[in-house]
Amino acid sequence: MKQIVKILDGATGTILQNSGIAIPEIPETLNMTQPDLIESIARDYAKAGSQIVYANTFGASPLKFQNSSYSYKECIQSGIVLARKGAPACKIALDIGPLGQLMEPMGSFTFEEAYDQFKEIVLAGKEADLIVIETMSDLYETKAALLAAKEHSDLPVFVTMSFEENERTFTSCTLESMAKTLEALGANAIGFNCSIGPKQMIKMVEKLSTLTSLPIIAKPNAGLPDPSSGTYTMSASEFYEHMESLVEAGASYIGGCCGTSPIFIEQIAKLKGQQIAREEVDSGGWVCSPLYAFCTKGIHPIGERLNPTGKKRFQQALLEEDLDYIVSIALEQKEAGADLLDVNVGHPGVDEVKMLPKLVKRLQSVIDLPLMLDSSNPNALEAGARVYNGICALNSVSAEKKKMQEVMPIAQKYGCSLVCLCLDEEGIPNSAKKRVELAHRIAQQASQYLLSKNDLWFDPLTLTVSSQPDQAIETLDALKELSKEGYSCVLGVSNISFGLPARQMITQAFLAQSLYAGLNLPIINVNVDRYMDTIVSSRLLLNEDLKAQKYIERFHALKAEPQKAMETLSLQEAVYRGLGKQARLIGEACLKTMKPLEVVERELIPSLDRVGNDYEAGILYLPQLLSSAKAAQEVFGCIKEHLAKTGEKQNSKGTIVLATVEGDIHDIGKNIVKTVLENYGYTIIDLGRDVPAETIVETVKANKIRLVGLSALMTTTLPAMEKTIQLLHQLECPPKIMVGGAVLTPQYANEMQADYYSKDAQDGVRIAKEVFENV
Amino acid sequence: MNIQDAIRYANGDPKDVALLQEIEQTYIRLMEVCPFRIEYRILDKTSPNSFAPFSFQSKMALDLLCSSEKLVVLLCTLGYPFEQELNRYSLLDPKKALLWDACGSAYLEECLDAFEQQLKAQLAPFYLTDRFSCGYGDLPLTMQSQIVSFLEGTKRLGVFVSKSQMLFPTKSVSAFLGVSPQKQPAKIKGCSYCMLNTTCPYRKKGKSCHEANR
Repeated sequence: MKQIVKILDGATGTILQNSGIAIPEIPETLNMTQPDLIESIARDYAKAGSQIVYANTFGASPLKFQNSSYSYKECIQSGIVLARKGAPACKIALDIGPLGQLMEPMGSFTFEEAYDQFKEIVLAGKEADLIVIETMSDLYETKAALLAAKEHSDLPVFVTMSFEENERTFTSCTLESMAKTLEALGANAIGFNCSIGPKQMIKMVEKLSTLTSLPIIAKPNAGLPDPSSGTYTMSASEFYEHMESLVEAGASYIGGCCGTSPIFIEQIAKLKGQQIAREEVDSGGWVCSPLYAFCTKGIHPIGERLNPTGKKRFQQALLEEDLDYIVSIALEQKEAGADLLDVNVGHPGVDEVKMLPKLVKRLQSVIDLPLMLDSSNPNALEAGARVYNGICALNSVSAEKKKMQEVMPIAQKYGCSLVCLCLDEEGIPNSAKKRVELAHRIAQQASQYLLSKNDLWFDPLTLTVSSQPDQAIETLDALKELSKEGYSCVLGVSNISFGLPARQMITQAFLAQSLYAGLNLPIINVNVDRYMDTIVSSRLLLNEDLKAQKYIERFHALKAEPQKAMETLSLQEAVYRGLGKQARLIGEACLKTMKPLEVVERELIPSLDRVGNDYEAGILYLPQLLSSAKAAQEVFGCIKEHLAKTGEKQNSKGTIVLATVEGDIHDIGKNIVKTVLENYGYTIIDLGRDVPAETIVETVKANKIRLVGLSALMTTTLPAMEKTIQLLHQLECPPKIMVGGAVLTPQYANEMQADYYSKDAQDGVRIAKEVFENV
Repeated sequence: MNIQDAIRYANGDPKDVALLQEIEQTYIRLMEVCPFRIEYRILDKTSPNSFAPFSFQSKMALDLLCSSEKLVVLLCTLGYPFEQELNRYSLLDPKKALLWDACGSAYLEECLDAFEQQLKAQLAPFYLTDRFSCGYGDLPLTMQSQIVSFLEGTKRLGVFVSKSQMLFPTKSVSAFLGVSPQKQPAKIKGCSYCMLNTTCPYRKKGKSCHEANR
């Protein structure tokens, strides 16, 4: 594969700084106030040899211009006009930079808000010849920009992100995640700009070249700046030498960023037109989150637990939107060794189109594993794939015509891999041969949507062996054939044992045989040790675990673990000592003979009281208090599961709203209070951090709340706390308010007219008891 | 490793051997996962109260900088990986979240101290004043935005300032140091100098961490 070197421009900011003019807060307004200067920059770059010149539009967005006397539209349009006047023979790029907002999940600026901003920018810049999205460090913001560009323009889109020497962006996005996501979303060229110099960029371009066949862009700074002055000292000739190496490494669009000028471009223009040879890279078959990407060749277990089917507690969590519970199930599966998580929210009373994207965002705020979105509703799949940060897989399509027409365009648009069920309108064929034929039919249809072979994961379907004893062999034969043809194979393994006693035994045996037959993406309960044991052992047997590293990692400690004498420990003692796993096991045993309420009142509360008293007395320290709280949480977890199964209602001692006030982003203290209060049987509505007073008031009104806990860490956010208290006092039935946090004192609390000052979590329990027991 | 400080920040028992080990492991992981990054500039004095573009009205700052000919302005952070792990621990285990947070504070302080030592050697024979941050004494917190904007903190380090002038990622610090030809007495001592002065559990109980450790 040959690519031709083309020359981009250099820095605009550096030239403006050197020109001696006062640079306004929004440099794009110079398009209106200093048009000659802006035009001359384009002219100088064209003269130096640039073939593509970026218009001065980098920071122009509706948001940044909201208080400006100029409009973003006029500045973008005149930026493009000026660049074209200065460089009439060059292609002119609409230059789009980051919005300068902290994106969700870390910040409050949503994906949808970012998309809307970028859409306006793209529409305003439609007179350009191409769109460049650059200096990005957040993959989510980059996806919003790229989607907006693709959906509102037909121009080619180039995307560059800023990576540091550790091959990560500030937000920890990996090079693989960046490459695969941007390619999947339809970028026409990708690469790097800013942050580092050309020398540091060489290794990254080499690596990128192995990940994508797209043309690679390299627009580095003029070396690394002198830290004490911020100035760049690299000469244009040295820059050229490194750029030559960058071209050898695979970059075909080259230019400069901070510290570069037309002299630099004049040097690198010597490389113009050079032909570079690149190797074609197999596309598709990848899934990723921003932090973690992998190619789905090889065995990768998929966690099946995020699914309400047959799980009362999960169903309840979905209906109550208790997303924390669902996230905890996801975390459990990650710890157990899942590489990918299946996410299914289909349950009566749940709007999948709303719930799936909501859960995707919540899961991605905590979990770095890629997700497989599982729904029979294509609208839900589209909604989920749209907000997904990275590349997800979709579960599923089949050989049914309607299904293929509905789901394949979604996979194409968002670059998703696709689970393909080997069934059609007539159901599941009985023979392996017919299932493989259906696979071929699906693959043929998929090629029309430009889905590569690697994007298709075929599921030859597991049938229950107790009712169809001849079918397990057919499934295994289909696996053999499909894997021989080079396809990835996926299978929900545990169906095999339905209706049989000791289900895990037969499931484990079927899993082992399937892996040997060619299954590489087993969908299983990864929390069952014997399944993961089988997977880890099979990886070794199938030569996927070099030097038996993973095998040894998993099993080397087995013989060292003596069984602890658990029976000698009481539940109270286990909780007091913070022994979570043991507390859970003892708790489960207790529930066989005691009612849940008895376990709470007779065992947990006395133990937590003892912990609280010893903490007050200085016998226990905060980390120990939290270990006990965690152990108690484990027991409450099994009590909740028990209640969901039996359909009994859980008694709450009262509902409390907790929030860190507006402007404050610290919530570790509030989270500790939440954990301890929940353990004492209170229901917590946790509004999170940086919460506006109005949100707290609305929640209190809507839920008829009697106690509110407000937290603040910094003195600067005390006014927000005071405002919240004032608004709450104005309610018809004002709740009691307790306040806490580092800067609070009883005196402050009093001055702000809070009802209580809570010095720590245990004090919060005392206050809650007083409020809810003194009715 | 700044283990003793981490134990104090977690309000832990300094004699708890198991806790000590857990903190050590947490600290090691933190150092692997969260690279310390810093941006700084050294500015000349441009008028009696100014080191352009920074101009001080704060008595505390002017007192500290009275003999300084240059000003170091810095912004540093442990970045997003710290927050990502903290989010995860918050759901997984509150104790782990507490220890991660405590180790983050201790490590950031350790890195800043090391940077200061390096700077001291680099600027010799000049002396450095105490390091001071916005919000200390009468130095307004609003200068935080000016520092981040001047050092292009969002672009270069991924640091944002909220409307309430808080830095994000949360383990980020902005600060000034004066550079003087005269030897500098330590003026900011004890709790007011400590980064954790607003969150210190010992302080809230009217003690200092040094007393509590005895």
